[in-house]
Amino acid sequence: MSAPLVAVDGRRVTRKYSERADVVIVGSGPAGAVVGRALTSKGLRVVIVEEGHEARPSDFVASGMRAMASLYRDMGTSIAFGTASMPYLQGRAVGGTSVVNGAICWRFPREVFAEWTKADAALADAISYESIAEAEERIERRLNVHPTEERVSRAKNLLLGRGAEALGVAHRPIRRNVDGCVGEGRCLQGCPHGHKLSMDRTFLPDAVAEGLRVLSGMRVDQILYARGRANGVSGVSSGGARFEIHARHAVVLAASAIQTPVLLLQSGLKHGPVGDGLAAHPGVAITGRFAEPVRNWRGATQGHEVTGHRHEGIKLEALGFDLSILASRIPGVGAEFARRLSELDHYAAWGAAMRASARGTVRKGIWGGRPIVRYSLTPDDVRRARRAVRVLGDTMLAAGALEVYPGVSGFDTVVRDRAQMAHLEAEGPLVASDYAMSMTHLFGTARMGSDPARSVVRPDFRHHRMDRLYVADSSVFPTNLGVNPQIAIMALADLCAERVGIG
Amino acid sequence: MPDTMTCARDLHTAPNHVLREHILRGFPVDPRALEGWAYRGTSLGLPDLIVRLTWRTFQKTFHRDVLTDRLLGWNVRLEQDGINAPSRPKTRGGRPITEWNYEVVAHEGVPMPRGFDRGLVVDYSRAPNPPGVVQLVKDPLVALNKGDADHLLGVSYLVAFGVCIETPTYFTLEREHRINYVPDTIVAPRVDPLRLTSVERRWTEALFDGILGTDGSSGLPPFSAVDKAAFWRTFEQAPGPLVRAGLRPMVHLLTFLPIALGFKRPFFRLTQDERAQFLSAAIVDRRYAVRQAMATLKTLACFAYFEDPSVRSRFESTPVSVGLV
Repeated sequence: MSAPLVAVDGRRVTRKYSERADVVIVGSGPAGAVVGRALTSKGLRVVIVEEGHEARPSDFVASGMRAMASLYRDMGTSIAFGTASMPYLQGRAVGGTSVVNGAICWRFPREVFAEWTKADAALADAISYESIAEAEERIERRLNVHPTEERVSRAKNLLLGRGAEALGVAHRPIRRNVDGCVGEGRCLQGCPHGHKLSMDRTFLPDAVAEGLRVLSGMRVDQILYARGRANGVSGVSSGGARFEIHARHAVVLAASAIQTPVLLLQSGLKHGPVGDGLAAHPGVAITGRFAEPVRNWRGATQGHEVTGHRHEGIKLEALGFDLSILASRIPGVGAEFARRLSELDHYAAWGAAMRASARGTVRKGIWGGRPIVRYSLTPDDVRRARRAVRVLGDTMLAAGALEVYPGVSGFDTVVRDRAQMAHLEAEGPLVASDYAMSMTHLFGTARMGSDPARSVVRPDFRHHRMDRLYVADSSVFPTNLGVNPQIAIMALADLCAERVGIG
Repeated sequence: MPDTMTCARDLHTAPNHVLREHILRGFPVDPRALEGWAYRGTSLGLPDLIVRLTWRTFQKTFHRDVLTDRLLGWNVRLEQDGINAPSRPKTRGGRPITEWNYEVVAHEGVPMPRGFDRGLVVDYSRAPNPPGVVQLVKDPLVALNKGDADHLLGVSYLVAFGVCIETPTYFTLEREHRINYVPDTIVAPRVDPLRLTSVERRWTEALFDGILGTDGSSGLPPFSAVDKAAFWRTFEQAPGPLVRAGLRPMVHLLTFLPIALGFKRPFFRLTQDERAQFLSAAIVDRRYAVRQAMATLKTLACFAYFEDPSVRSRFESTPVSVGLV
């Protein structure tokens, strides 16, 4: 019988609690889970502290609203303010965002690594691309990463491939970390069959079997340190009690590009550009109606992608979420909306993720420490968004859509031919707020580098000023990647774990 | 304790000293195994006269509050059809009659008689209840079998002036069915300045109704007929404060904007045609605030509509076929 995943459930911690470990890790998402696994296998006593709770497949519901309420931070309504306010989604559960992501896996793009090392040669001395690739190989093997099988693709994914094929644009089934997927289409609500190999089903139980302790429902709000050395963390449990976890060797932050800088700032560690340089992949989405039923909520949640626009910083993906989200993307109100709603199974939604050049900020907030995130697209980014809507529309029409709905304010609500889409790109608005966007994949708020004035951690992931403090998540990425970052985050976390033992 | 499984019903004729022995030697209960379930309760240990004046059977429920992570619950009054009859809740206004709200907590730190610290504690002082004896009552809860949360045993004791007073009110609990009703009184006991008033809720639902336009003619259930309680409960507990705080000005904006646009009346006073006319203009309004309010309300309207099982099943029942679809 396997050990329980969670050693201490914070909901039951109602009195002051403390524990000692060799290493304490904040966050149990892809970065924290990899570091936890690596250090536990070295024989260290490791504790992961996670704010969210353990969620089991039997608990997962189809309702998008209830899934977001239980598994997403602030029910998915965290907002980045700027020229256009955008929601950003973050999971909050044991396993972090891996519990609710689309299971999309991409290797670290070599050209992005070249950008990093060109900007800071010291990175190349500390990290080789080959070492990243080796880590990715190991990680992908454990996560059973493989292209989406056609048997679970179903219409929404296959149509995206059909559209790209008609336009002669490169496309492929998405490589995903799943095992035995049946195409239920509920990755973003948590896989009810446990077929997505998220951290709570792979790296965390692997490590727990070797002695890792996972503390859930425990929100860290302070890094403890003395005489220039980090020696633990403290916070508050869901049961309302204060807790302290003392670390003999190291404290590793893996709480995301939003929570990690906030934790550093709250702890008075304001050195360097902490909280600055927030990079992301903003996304636009369009909906279209097909003659044949699509049943967008069925099939691999995100099973197909168009890669032929990557050189423009645009990647198209099939989308899948709950009925309610799909319905909210259908145009119109009143009787017209009701009529369209009755044919909901004929609608498909696809999205485009953009490699934006904008940089934002993360600051500690005033409401219960909730972060204040600011992020405004650059004029180039808005142009890219307009281009992305155009290629999405083109692809959907080429796939046979009867009509598509660009969702761009000040432009035609319904588009039926590609000439109209071309007109959008030529004459469409260049105001950020005219595009409905959301942000995914956040980076860069505690970036690594050799210059202490321009970075927060060293190329070996160690904080420039605080000994024994490491950052392992995507906060350290100097830039965004242009592709889904789960595997890259895990690979760099693996390299971070190699270095934690050295000091 | 015997090695064989003990069922709750095995204890229905047991004398009080045997029941107490089970409390003292019972097994821990995993609170996660209780979440979302209603249990059939059977009162034991009380004289028949008292049982006849009160009740023999009842339901106890366990509901995880998503905002606070507290495990809450309430008793459901049942028609007294007999100990072996199926549970049939008493109702008022079509809703089950609930009472005796509680929070389920770990035993650590809770004053209790010696040896009662085997499992969880049902604590009535930590939930909204009318003033009175109920505020003094706590029930330790144990599992009758190791690792099994289907059969539980509890007993009530009072805590007054720091003194624990045992009572003979034992009860068994048997897992019955998933919870299908959550009373507002249990999950929204706090004073919450972001919570919409009942009037504002009506304005919001009028806007939802107008946006969705589902009057039944399209073959979909009309919005007026769907149950909105689950939506409001989730919405008021889960989203971040920015969105919750933002909803009120959005609702006020869209409710009273028609006056400024020449309709001369707020949204809820408009005719169906006027509502459609206003909303069609608002959704493409050039002002960002109006557009954003419409987009937010439309998303929430879809959330509210699809929370109703009858709407969801209309689409989800479609069988998954192999191939393109």
